[in-house]
Parts: sequence; structure tokens; C-alpha cells
Amino acid sequence: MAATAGQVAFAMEAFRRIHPVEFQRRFLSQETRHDGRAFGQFRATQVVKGTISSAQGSSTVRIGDTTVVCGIKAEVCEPDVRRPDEGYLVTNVDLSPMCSARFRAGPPGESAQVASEHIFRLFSGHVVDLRELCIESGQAAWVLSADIVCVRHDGNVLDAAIIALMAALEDLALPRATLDAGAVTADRSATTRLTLRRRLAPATFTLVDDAYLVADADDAEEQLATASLLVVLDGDGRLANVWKRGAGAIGRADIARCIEAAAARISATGE
Amino acid sequence: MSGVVVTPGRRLGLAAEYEAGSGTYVRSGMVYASILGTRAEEPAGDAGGKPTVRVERRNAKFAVPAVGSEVLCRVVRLNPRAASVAIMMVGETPCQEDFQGIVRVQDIRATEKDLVQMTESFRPGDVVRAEVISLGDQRSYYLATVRNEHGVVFAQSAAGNTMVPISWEEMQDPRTGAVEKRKCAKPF
Amino acid sequence: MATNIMDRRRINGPARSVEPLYGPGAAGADPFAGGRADGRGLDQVRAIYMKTGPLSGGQHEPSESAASGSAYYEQGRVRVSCAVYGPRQGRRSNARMGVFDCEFRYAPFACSWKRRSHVRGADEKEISLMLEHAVAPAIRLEAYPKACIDAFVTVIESDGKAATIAAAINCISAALADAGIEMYDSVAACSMGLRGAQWVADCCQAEEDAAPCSMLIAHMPSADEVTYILQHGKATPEQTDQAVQTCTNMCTRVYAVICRCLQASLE
Repeated sequence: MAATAGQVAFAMEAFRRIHPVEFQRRFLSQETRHDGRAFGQFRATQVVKGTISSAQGSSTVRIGDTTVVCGIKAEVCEPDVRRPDEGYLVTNVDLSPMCSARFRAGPPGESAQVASEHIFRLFSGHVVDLRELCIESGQAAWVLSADIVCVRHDGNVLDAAIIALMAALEDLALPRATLDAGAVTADRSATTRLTLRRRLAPATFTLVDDAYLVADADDAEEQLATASLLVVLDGDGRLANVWKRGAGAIGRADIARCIEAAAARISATGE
Repeated sequence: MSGVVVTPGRRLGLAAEYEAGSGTYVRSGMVYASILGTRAEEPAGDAGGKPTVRVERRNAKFAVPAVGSEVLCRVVRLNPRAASVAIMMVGETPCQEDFQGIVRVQDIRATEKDLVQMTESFRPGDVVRAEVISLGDQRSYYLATVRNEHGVVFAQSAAGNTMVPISWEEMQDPRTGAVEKRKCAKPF
Repeated sequence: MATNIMDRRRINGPARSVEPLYGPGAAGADPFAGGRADGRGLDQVRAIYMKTGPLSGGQHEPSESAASGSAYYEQGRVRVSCAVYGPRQGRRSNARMGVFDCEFRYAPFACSWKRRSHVRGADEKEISLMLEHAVAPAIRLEAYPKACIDAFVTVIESDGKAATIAAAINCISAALADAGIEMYDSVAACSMGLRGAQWVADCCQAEEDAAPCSMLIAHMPSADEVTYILQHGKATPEQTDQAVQTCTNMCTRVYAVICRCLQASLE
């Protein structure tokens, strides 16, 4: 690039637009990031609970500029005949063309499917005791539809989605329900909260350009990602989930450091 | 009156008294603001002329190519008749997303058009400065690089190194010394 | 009984699920008994809160895939977000004029009754078209040949269908201004419901359900042009005339609020 510096006086913005890879490398090779963060630094996270009155539980989470809204609607269904004492928790992540120009309208794309599936496996049964959702064994149970809508995608949506779902579950007020002559009657004035088995806290680390391991990558950095590592810890600091994706190699020592960094972040945010 | 924040649809003055500048429009004898921004006035250029009123935007506007504008684009693919490019910047302003453009083989050079070979002018990945000559077909803008200052401004050699122009039709890899053919832009 | 559509690309719940019956509540009661539930006057619009740029700006240089403008709009319990992309290359193109496209969506949890399916409903498509027709006349599309301007609206919470559509129109107007799109004017919209012989402004869901007729008007106050009128239900022509008058006046008041918010976003 040095050879062309005199040839064309690229303005900063133009350089960023035309050579995104070179642009990021300039920062990363100087041990810094394009938004001024250190490699291990997370963006500020904001959680607001209970904003939506049309949902039984809700939350809005912002990580830097990434914004997701989670709403849980409680409906009644017949339980599965194989598990008559259990209800359902259904989690879906929605990445629409509204949140980023990278997404197209229509059915969920691959990243949304992967996120939905992973969050489902993380929460269903492990965080929420599905037996608590039973209203009348074999006859009626609650189905909690948790929809996580991303309204702005600026990287690390998976962390935001997990935090949002956790907060919405904590906010969830389930009306007391009784089965009465084949119909379920619910009483809005008497609500119960779910007992959550564990409180999950996520942290994502991304290998950018196959060389730099950064915490909480934003959209521009994710474009150059070759691997990412999701670490989910529970309230006691035990590992709930480690998920390494992508072809890039992350050393074992690095993984251990990431787990430590995730624990440090959780204690720093006071949770 | 200058420096006031105005919203689209705000009256700025009579068309008889003001010239409508950027960010404004005229309707039934009045000048109105068409964007959100701050009102600014410029005195008349010559005696007896009208002062110009315009609205200055706060944030950089995203550009749309127009006939005559200079654009910076990346070559996406080639065929013997035309090069497909993605327009990334118009003048100094980046586009929000790429616009598609085409440089036809007859629009690459001003002279000896019939001898121009596409593969001796561009390669996929090159960054090219060009001029919009027409709004083109359904999808693509038509671009031309006939002027001296238009052509390839950034290219990598087959070895992956950034090349420097050594003549109006050749670029050289400074590490390997390999020479490749391009329609080079005249450096400023 | 609702049947949930199975889709392998999503996490599916049970095949059928229903809202539980909520005990004896407000259902059937007259929402106007003893004045409006929230104590508003009949011609009063719910409190408006609006913010531009939550989905597009940022402390740092926004990434290139971020929206060019955005707005969040709240009117009582109606909450709407809008992101505007463009001018960019669209699927449809017109060499003379730009194209304005709008996509309206309810979040699955937005409605107070049942959960909405992920599949885009016919009403959402219809409302998308309504929003396009209401807002497009305000945009100087001739300034954007061959380009496309897309507005994406997501309803986070709905409280009154007509009021939600009006809120969406206001939100798009603000987001377009935030994106710096050339416009003739901002469009302001307002809805009303009929109550006896009296028009009631900005009905919430319970009031709307009890009203025999509703009216929605989108208006450009600076040019004094109406861009969209939707009336459905039963009303006499005189009542409709009167509604157009009152509703336009209310639009002007809403417009003032939008303009103040837009100005404040720059100051």
C-alpha cells in the first residue's frame, strides 16, 4: 500500500470503503481497533426489561450499536404425549433486512437459523424447567414463544440475543392458569415468575484476519472473521457452553484466556 | 436567518428574491427546504443578481451516480466486450451500497478504439476511476475511462503485490519486477 | 384455534396453541364509560416521543451495511421503529425516477391478543402498500433516477390498528428526513374513531374495537395536501367531511411535534 500512497490521496473514508481489509489491518497491526477499543475490550451493554406490555415478558438489549428486542408471549397448548408434564419454550431469532443491508427479506437465512437453534439448545430444559410450564398433566401446558428481533446489526448479535432472552425470562410474569371444563382460564392479577435454573452470561471472541483475537467484534470486524469462540458461563462461573466456529485456528492457551476474560467481564458488569 | 435549523417543507423565501440552491426546491413562487439541515445564504455573484439560499446537511449524504460524475469503482468481472464494475464512490462521497456499472470496450480509450483489448486494460479486483456517460440499461450505469486521469488507480500483480504505473499502459510489481498491461490513470 | 405453520428453518412449537381465556375483564365494557380510560380529551392525541438515528447513527463511523437514516416513534403504547436504506441500487429501477419501497411488519409479540405468525400476513402487505402511497408523494423521486429508497418498519407494540399505521407514517417521515432524502414536505398522519356522533382522536385498541367507523389521514401541512385517506365503517357523508377537517387539523399538530424533534436532533 505504501507504494500507492503518493499515487492517490485516499481520504480515510474512501480507504475504508475501497480496502476494508487493509483498513482494518492498519489498526490491528498497531494493537488497536478501528473504534479505539483494546483487543480484549467489550462494548458497553445496556439492558432494559419489561418495555412491551403486549408481551408477558420483554427486554431490549444494546451492545454498542447492536440492538435486539425480545418479547415472550405465553399461549396454551396440549403437551406432547411423550412428555405430558412439560410445556414448550420456542426461541427464534429474526434478522430482517431492517437491521442490516446484508440480510434479504423472506424466510430466515443461515445465520438466523443457526442462532435460533443454538439458543434453543442452550435454554430449553437447561435454563427453564419445562415441567414448570405444565398447567394440567397431559392436558394443558404453557408454550412460551420467545421472539428475538434484531433491529440493528452491528456485530455480535448472538451475545445480545442470549442476554435479551435471559432478561426477558427474568421479566416474564406468567398469569395463574386453571383448567376448567376443557378451557384454560388465566388470571392476570395473580402472576408467578419462573424459577430459572441458571443465569447465563455470554461472551464472544472473534479471530479477525486469521491473526488477531478480539472480544465483541463489530460488523466491520466480523466481515474479516475466520473463526469465533462463544463462551457462556452461568452465575456460579461454571462453563455452560463453549462454541468455536470457523476454520481459523484458536490455540488452546487462547481458549483458556478467553474463558478467563469472559468470567472477568461478568464480574465486572456486576452480575 | 442563516444557521437556523429547517425541516423539509419549511418556507425559505420568495423565489423572486432568492435563487434556489442545493437542498431546496421552488413551488408556486416560493423557495422551500427539501432536506433537514441548516439554512445558509450566499450573496449574489454579480450586481443585480439574487442571493442564493440553500440548506446544508448535517451528515454526509450518500451519493447517487449521475451523468458526468466521476466515480471510483472495482472491476468485478470481464468479458471481451465489457467490464462489469461495482461503483463504490461518487466524487468524494461513498455510496451506501455498490451500484453496478459497465465499461464497454469502446469506452476505454479515446484513440485506436478498435485495437483495445479488454484483458490488456483491466483485471478483476482493480480499482478504476471513471466517468459516468449514461444511465445505461435497466441495471448498469455506462462508464468511460477515455480521459487521461481516468483508468486503473490501484491494482495488484499476479503475485499479490500492489503495482505502480510505469507508463500509460503498463504497471510493474516493485518486488518481482513483473510488468502487466493496464489502462493506467495519469497520477495527479 | 390457531394452527402454527411448521417451518424447518425455524424452531417450531406445538402444532396448535391458543391464548388462554382471561377472566372477566374489560371485554364488553364500554371503553368510554366515564370519559376516556387514560383521561384524555376527545380531540387529544397520546403523548408522542420520537428519536431519530437510533438504528443508523452511532458514536463511531457506522458500518457500511447500516441504515442511512432511522427513527423510533412512540405514541402512547404504540411503538414503531423505522430504518431507511438508500438511495441504493434496487431490484426495480426506473431511468427517470427513483423508486420508494416500504416493508411493514409486526413483531410477533406486538399485538395484545394473539402471537403473530412469522409468515408475512396479508394485512402486513396491505399496510406496506398503504404506507408507500401515503409517503411517496412527499419524496422528490425525480432527484434519484435509477435508485431505490427502502423503508423498513417494525411495530414493536401495537395499540389500535389505525393509530399504528399513522405512527408508522410519522416514523417513516422522520427516518427519511434523518437519512437526508430530498422531500417536498414531511408527512404527518393521524387517526380518529367515531363515537356516537362525535369523532374521537387517536383511539387505542379498546376504543377502536368499540367504534363503528375509523378514519386515517396523512397530510403534508406545508403544501396543504392530503396524501392518503382511509375511512372504513359506517358514517354519513357529513360526518366524513367533518372528520377530514378535524383530522387534518390534528395532523398539523402532530407535524409540529415531528418538526420540533427533527430540529432538536440537529441542535
